[in-house]
Amino acid sequence: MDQNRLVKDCLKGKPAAQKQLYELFAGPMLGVCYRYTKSLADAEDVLQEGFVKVFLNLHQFKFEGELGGWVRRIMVTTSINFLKKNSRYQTELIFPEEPPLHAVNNDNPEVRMGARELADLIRQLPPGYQTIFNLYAVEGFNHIEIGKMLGIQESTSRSQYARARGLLIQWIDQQNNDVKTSAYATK
Amino acid sequence: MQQSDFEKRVREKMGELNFTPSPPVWPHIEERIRQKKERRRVFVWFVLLALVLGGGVWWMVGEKLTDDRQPVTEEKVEGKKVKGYEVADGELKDRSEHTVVTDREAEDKISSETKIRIDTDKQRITGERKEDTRATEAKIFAEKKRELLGRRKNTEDRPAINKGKKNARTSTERTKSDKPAADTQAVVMTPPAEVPVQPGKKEETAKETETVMEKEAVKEPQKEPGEEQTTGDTAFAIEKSKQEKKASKWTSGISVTAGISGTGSGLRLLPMVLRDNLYSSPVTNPGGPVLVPPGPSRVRNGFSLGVGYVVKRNTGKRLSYSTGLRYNYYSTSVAVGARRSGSSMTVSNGTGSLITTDVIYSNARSTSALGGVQIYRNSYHFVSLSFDLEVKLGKKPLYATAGLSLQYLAASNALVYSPSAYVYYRKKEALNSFQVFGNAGMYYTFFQNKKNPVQLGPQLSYGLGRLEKGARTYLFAAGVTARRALNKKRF
Repeated sequence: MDQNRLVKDCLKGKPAAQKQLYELFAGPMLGVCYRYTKSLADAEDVLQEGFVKVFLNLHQFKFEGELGGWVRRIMVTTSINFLKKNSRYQTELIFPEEPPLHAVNNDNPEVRMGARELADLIRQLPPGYQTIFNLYAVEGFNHIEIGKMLGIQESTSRSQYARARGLLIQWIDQQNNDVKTSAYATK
Repeated sequence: MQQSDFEKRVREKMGELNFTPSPPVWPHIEERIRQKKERRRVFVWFVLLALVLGGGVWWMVGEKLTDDRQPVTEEKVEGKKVKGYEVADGELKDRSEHTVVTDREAEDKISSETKIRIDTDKQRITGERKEDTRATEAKIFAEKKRELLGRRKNTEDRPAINKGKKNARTSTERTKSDKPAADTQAVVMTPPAEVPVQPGKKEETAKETETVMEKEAVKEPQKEPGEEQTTGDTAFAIEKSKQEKKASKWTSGISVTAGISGTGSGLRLLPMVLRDNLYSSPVTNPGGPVLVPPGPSRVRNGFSLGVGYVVKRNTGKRLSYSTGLRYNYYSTSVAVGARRSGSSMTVSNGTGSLITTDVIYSNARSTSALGGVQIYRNSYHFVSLSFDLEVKLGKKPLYATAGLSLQYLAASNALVYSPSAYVYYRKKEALNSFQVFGNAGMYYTFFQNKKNPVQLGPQLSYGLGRLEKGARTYLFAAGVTARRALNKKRF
């Protein structure tokens, strides 16, 4: 399917083309929104808002990169704005001094769980950690960009990411160990 | 921190994450997009319409302010009520707040000193005038007196003051009628500094003016023929699109417009001082009031009417253009003095050419107007050919329209003021026969689903060319237009 053709038809206001574009990206983009929010309902709200922005600003797409990447960028920005506006989410990145995490056995564990399980693990992180981890590890932004997006220092972003990563690795490690234990138990 | 394999694995896993949104999500997105686009469109058209109407109001208000600045003259009118003017304490006053003083002794003194009797159109005024304005006007009037004095010495007749006799001729008129045509032009007191009159300058044409309205519309995505509308693939939508296809692209009907018309002074390129000088030149009288020749009376708005045949063609779902042939009637009113029957005069129309006419009315602000002030209605009969673009706004049957019309002045009884002779005269040659008007307006379709739908809405037309040759006078009309399609069609 020619994405440029699809975009041009959407710009002409063809309802069929608009629906096609939505169906093409709705599933993956809902996954993006899911990772930033705490519930599927919130994720769908962000998805709606994001697609409205996509269609109203589609004339700004310059046909230079992938359409999916452009849509994804809008979804990420919309998610962050949602977090900032929504009082249910703590966007403060000043976390209380927590005791150091347990030392992990493996700094680079395998991820054996499914995508949904991993996403749920990420969503267990505190909101600030969750956002920074998503932006750095999944979206691929560097800490300077993250600092600009969230209004924090680069060093803060680095330290928060390190904490988030450590937590997540610990949980993944724990899950892997639980799997091993249950596997041994069944033998 | 360089991304390790862990981050890569996480990213790969997250790329597999896929959800199915619930069914209501897409309809909500569609609805929000439609609402936002409609709001944007209405806002843009609202701004455009506000600019057009605001511009029209600005012209009219500006014209009113200009009139207020003109000097008020006072004449003794015994117990006469004149429409548009106030007669109080035996004095005819304009509605502005200038104070007026009569001083006949000063007039006699000046006359005896200069040996020149300013005839019928003597004016006296006091009020707030700037010193530099008085000096400039005094200089101009002194030049005129010298010129007239030179002519007077060669004549045997001594002009007398017109004390209300309708048949009395002014010295200017007598001189003009006695002298051969070659001298007439010299007697006509055309101020050398008369701005914007420029001898030899041709009248403005439509090329010198710009279209008032912008013609670009909000870009509406064009839909392919036969494509479903916003209602989606439903039976209702299919039936609706079939009906729309059946409708002819051409529609004709009649339109009627009624409202008010008036004249404006166009672009404010002249400083106020120079504009005043066109109509007033005081006589210096040390120690006494300033004597000023008369200026024109204020032009009042009148009734306008238009009837015509309109043909409209739809070029898209929202865009259409229309053309039509109409008869337009515009009118204004002005206070004038008595008509001078039996006399003719030759005046300059401000473009270097002379006009001879025998329809002359005194200025309402002159002594000859005593007891004879009347309200004269200027009528203009035009035949016009118009071309307009129409855009439908939103889903409602609301249309915005803008365009141009070329109008031919078929007949007119309008009086034109001569700033050199201080009288009003009637001559069609003093008016520009062809006028280009800018039009703007809106229509709303009433009884759309009934047998006889009618479109109704406000309309504004403004002349882009001068109405009078040699004078910055522009005709405008504002009113309500009603349109009805013929043969049971819809516009």
